[in-house]
Amino acid sequence: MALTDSTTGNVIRDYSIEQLKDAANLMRGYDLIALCAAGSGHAGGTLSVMDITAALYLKVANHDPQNPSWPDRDRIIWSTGHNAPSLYLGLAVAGFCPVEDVMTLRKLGSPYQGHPHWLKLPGVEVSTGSLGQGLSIAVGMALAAKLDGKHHKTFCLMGDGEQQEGQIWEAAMEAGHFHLDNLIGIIDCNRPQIDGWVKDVMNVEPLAAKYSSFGWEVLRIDGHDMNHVADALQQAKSAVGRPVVILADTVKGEGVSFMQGQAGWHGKAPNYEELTRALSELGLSERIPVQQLRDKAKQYQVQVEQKLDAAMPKF
Amino acid sequence: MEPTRKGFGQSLAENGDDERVVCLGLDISGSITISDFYSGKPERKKRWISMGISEQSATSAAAGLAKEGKLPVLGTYATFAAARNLDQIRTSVCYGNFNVMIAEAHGGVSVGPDGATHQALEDLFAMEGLPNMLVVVPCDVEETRKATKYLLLQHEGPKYVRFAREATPVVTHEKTPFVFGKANVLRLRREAANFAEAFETRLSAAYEDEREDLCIIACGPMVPEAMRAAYIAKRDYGYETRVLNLHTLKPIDAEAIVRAAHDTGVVITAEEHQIGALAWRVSAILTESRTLRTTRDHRRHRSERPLW
Repeated sequence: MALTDSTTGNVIRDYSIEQLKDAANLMRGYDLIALCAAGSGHAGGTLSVMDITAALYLKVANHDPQNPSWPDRDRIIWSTGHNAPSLYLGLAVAGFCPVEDVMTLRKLGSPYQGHPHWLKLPGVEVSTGSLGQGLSIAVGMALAAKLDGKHHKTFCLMGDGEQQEGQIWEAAMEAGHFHLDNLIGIIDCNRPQIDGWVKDVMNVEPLAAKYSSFGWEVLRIDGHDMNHVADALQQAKSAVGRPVVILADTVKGEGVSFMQGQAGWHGKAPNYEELTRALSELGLSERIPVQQLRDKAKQYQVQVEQKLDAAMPKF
Repeated sequence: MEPTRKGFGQSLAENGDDERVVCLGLDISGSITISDFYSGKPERKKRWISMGISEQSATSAAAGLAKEGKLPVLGTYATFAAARNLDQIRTSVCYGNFNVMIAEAHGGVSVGPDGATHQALEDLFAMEGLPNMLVVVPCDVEETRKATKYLLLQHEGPKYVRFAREATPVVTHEKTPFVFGKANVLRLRREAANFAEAFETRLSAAYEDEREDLCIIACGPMVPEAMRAAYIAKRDYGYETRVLNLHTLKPIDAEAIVRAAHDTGVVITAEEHQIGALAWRVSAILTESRTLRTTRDHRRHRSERPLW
């Protein structure tokens, strides 16, 4: 299952593991450029979830970039809406939209909003950002699929801090109760949240035991080992009788030495100096046309400011 | 006399054959009559989904079902349908503009002995304030039936319908006009053995000014109360009253309100809710009107403090 041409059923591109790793690396670079241009956003989580994003959007999910509303597509819900840039880059590298457009992230009027809004951007399934709601929405979509006798999967990306929300457990109960084996949860267990380590702010472990007791099958993986990631996602797709949750151990800020495991990078964007250092560490300084992408963002911003200026009353 | 909530169940029973209709149970199905959807109809059982006492998740799940083309309906008591799950209504349902129907049973103080925790008294403030949300407070069981059918099958988008618990007077019938978003005028015409038959009901747009002395704007079970007041006003004081049944609070029939104020000069609002959901909306409409010059707003109400 993969990027599919829904009119013919043919796979558009079959990524190898090495290619996925490379794609994830590039996506990290684009992510940081977009965040820097936006001046705000979430570096930590977008980096930790990027390997999963690449594997899911480029190899595992059955979907067609030319047809975002293909009825048989696998659905992907980003319950952790603040990691929107990763969602957008997953869509972009898969071919749903141009990568350079993602550089207008968080700017006024751009469809690449700070938290994803489905009414503005094809490829986004639902609007999220208020933590804890996505899994319930996924339950609803999975229930609809069962009602209609359809066989696509619904994936739901969540965070470990997000497991503190009570609504998550309502949805977990429902998924177990209804044996939603077409529902796959993925938890990006990157450890810190905003006020500190998850285990100190409000411990959510043992997640495996909790989900298992709610009737889910649990897979635990290294979220940065592309082989593990791809295998687990594929395995989850063949679940029978129970929903599956993949607990992915990741590092917040993965790939950038001064962000990894450092407090403060949850809701922060790199400045230009930090961006340059990060791209160098990722080995992308020469591979990505950084200036061109930053110019795209800047041009868009200029247009926005012109519009605002025109609308301002002159005193 | 019949509880308005029964009209909801009747409508689901009548209109539930549409395969898109999916009803979500929140462990209170018999009482709010959502169980009439599947009762005696085993072929509908798979479209009846029991979610238990989890209003937040069920609300977001309803959004997911609506995204996939279903017509989800969920309901429960009081503020559990509108406050417990407000962020989910706002963000999962309204922001995404999904076709979800939320039924709020147990509206108002008339709920009685269960007490304040089971009385919805502030729900309309939030529901009226939500973009994309529609709000209907039908006046009796018959109007509830019509409103449910319209909202379920003809309107696409988020919708909220509010009922009372206890049996309330039936003041409309099959032929009484019900137009979503348009108020009805009720006028006392005669003496009659059946109280409802003493009144004539017309769409406000089809009603011509009779230079009444005052106007009472009401919704839900306060409509029959307003009718009683109109009767007393006539019998004891010789006053003519225009009763306005404002069943649709959102979108509100501002035209009917302005006309009533202009024609009668005195406006009284009656709502089974913390004062404001109806009163402030009406006040705002009157204040914003360019055709009216309003005088001071005299608040006379039986309860000077919040209804708890």
